Amino acid sequence: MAFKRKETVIEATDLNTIDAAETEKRIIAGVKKYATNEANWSSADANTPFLGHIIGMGIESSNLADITMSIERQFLTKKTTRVPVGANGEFRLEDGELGKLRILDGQDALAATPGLSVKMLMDFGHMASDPAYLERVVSFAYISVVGDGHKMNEALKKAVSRAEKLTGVEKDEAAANVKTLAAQALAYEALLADPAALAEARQKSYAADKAAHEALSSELTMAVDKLAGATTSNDAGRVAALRTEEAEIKTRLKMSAAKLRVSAEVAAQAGKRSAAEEAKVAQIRTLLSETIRLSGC
Amino acid sequence: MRKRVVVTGLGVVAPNGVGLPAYRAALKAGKSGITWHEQLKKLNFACQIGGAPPIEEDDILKVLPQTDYHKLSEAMIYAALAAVECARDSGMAVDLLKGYQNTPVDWDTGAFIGCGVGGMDTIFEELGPVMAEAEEQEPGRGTAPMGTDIVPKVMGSSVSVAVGKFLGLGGQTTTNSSACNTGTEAIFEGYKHIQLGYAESMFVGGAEGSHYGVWSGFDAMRDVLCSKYNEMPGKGSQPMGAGACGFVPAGGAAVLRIESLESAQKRGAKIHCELVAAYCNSGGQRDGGTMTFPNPDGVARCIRRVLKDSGVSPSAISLINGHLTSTGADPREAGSWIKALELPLEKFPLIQSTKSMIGHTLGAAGALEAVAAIDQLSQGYVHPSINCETVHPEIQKIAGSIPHEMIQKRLDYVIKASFGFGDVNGCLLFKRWE
Repeated sequence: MAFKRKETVIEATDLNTIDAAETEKRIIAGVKKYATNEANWSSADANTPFLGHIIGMGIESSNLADITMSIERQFLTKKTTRVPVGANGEFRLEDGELGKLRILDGQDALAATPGLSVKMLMDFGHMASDPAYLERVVSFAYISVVGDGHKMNEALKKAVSRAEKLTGVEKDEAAANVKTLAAQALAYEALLADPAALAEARQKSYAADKAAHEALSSELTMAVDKLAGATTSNDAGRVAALRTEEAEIKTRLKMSAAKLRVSAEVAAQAGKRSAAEEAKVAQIRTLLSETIRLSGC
Repeated sequence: MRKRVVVTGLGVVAPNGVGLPAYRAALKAGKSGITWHEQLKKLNFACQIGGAPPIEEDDILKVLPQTDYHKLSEAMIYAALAAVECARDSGMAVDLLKGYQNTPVDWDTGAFIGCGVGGMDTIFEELGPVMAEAEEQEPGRGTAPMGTDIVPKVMGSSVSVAVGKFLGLGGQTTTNSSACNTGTEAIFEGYKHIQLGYAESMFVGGAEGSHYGVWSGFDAMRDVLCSKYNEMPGKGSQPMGAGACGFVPAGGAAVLRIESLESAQKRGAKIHCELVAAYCNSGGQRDGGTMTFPNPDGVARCIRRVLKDSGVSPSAISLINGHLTSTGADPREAGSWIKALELPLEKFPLIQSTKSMIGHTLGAAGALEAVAAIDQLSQGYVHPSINCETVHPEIQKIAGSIPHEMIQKRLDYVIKASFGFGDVNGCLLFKRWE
């Protein structure tokens, strides 16, 4: 018979009986199963991203659903009463009997680290807010900013290493690539040094995302109007085509809304910088500077 | 001109031994890996004995990282353990616990790792209970509580992608499935792949879990499994024996690294033996061939094709490692060997069944038995075929060719065949490496 796996029984805990630090500890232990970067996982703290093989726990993006599920299984909440919202079976959660935690669709969009997962639980009222704890949590905006820095640093390091091994024309091409990457890294390092410039760059991205989202919303309005007009006619083919178009725009709109939410958070937070964020930024700036120096550019 | 293909690595997870040294020792000693299982009794299985690799979670975690362990089904774990041993045996420095994600991709090597049933432990122990609990506690919650680990654990190619992931294989990496011929077919597929120049080396073999879910369907087929030796598990698997009453189900894995001779010599690899010919066919489920019985003509054709392709005379064959499962098909198989080899009975080669010790490991059988064949060839011994001291009346003609004790003997050619549900056949011919 199959070998016996040692089973871990998880006793769900009432989120109102433990503090933020304990919640964070349990979240980190719970996601161990999905993390592949053991070194990073074992030293993970509030600000270790779940994703990313370089700086995160190495959890594949498809496992984000598992992280949310793991969090749901570990905790109990009083937010259990479902209050219907709209006609599509959607609901919000209000206070009720102590029961299983349920994280609704989209609520986990910014929970990229254990600390941000704790923040999510606080934001949606599953546990009391703890400003002192949140002060130590790096915002989603800076997790994203620092992550981009690490990716850039890694790409430059790889390019330098590759160029060193080549000769002749190939070496010249690789050196040109190093030069381009080093210039990008230098510009990014400078951007990181200036919170205002960083905020401006992020706000530009947000403005573009917002405009795209609004255009899509208008498109949907038009499609709905056209559909209303068509349903009064007897043109079944046209109605079917318009329904397909409406469903397609709604799908795109949903994706766009998720992107916009992330973009808005990044834009709103990029200009501010807590001590924890300052430390993270300083760390990646040092790494970038060192790699740029090694590239000889 | 055809490329010469050699075997440069072996890895084993068998019911009577985990790792090649333990497997070899068990084969030489005629040690059975079949045991009685309380859970099968609780479930009221007619056959309550089976072969499961003697392995614990702690042993597995000495090879596989804990973070990966949870994402693997039983068959994937067996496949990965066998593949790691095989890779190391072939000269690769593999230490998964030190990290493997940054090791370079080997673009010239792929994997054909077969699986007969697969994933049943995940379906029975995770998928079913989770879905039942979700429906009971929150009707309408749908599939969300299932998580994202289920698909990689139950998909057909789960065993090969596990091997490919851990070893960083950049060649074609896939899973074949042809019932009990699976392991042998995987070796044939890898052999062809190298012959055609698509890869310089391939990890090939088969894996099967030993969860009762894998065995349950066979138990439901009544006389297919052995149900008369529940009190004497070690005696249950009796290929060619007079008391054979059905096969004993088992699980495990074996992986071989096969390689072009040029590649093996270029990297100075140790060579276990040469794979001189391989072939697979089907009896078409005609002329006596059915879902569960092979067409004897198909079997004979398969064996003859291997002999023809290799140019090896039947009289040069030292040992037959048969499919021989401990069922009513054994006499028919013996007849097919006699028919295909066309040798005077006094010159009939030795014939054995590794299943007498490990039971029938289904999708892993051909690979585990191929490893047994290769090890005997390279180490110069013949393992006993146990539990057939009284030979089946219809096999009496070749009774003198069945080894009941281990024999030290130089072997030149060992031929191995497998036959599977659906009337599919496979045959491999190995030559001693000088």
